[in-house]
Amino acid sequence: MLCRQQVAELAESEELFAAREARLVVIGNGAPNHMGAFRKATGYRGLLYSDPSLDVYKTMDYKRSLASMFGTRTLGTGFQALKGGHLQKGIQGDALQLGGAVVIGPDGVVRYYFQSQVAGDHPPVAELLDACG
Amino acid sequence: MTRHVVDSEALAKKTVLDESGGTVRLGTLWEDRPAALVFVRHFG
Repeated sequence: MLCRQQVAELAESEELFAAREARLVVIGNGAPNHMGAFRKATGYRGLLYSDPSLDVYKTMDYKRSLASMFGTRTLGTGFQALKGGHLQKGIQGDALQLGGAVVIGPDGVVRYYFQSQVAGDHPPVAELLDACG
Repeated sequence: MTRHVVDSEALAKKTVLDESGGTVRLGTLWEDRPAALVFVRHFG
């Protein structure tokens, strides 16, 4: 699953987070002026931020390496995404930087942590929802 | 799910940019309700 496809799926799940009185936030690392195009591509209307310095990605201990792009799963997931009509066009951010997810409660307790191992490795939405309570 | 220690206090003090280039402190996102932060690879 490509990044754009992942966020398209999240866009469809926004109301499920709201129903659990939780907040869904998507964070990328491209230039803020790319966000409008990203919204159009994904249909995502929720909270969207960027960390161009990658400072937050570093704090999250997310992977950044050339090798991360060549996991054996990447080709297969890329092909699946292609078939689904989610073509990856250009690079709006750091192509070597992988992401992940975290769920944190108002008490500051980290309920869930996910670190992408290769490009195309994304946290299941159901796991995020479960962690939201 | 990978077991990992994240320092949420350190994370709370970090800032991200909104669409107009303004800064938002991460901690404000979960101060009143649980927040699921999804970090994407890039805006592509």
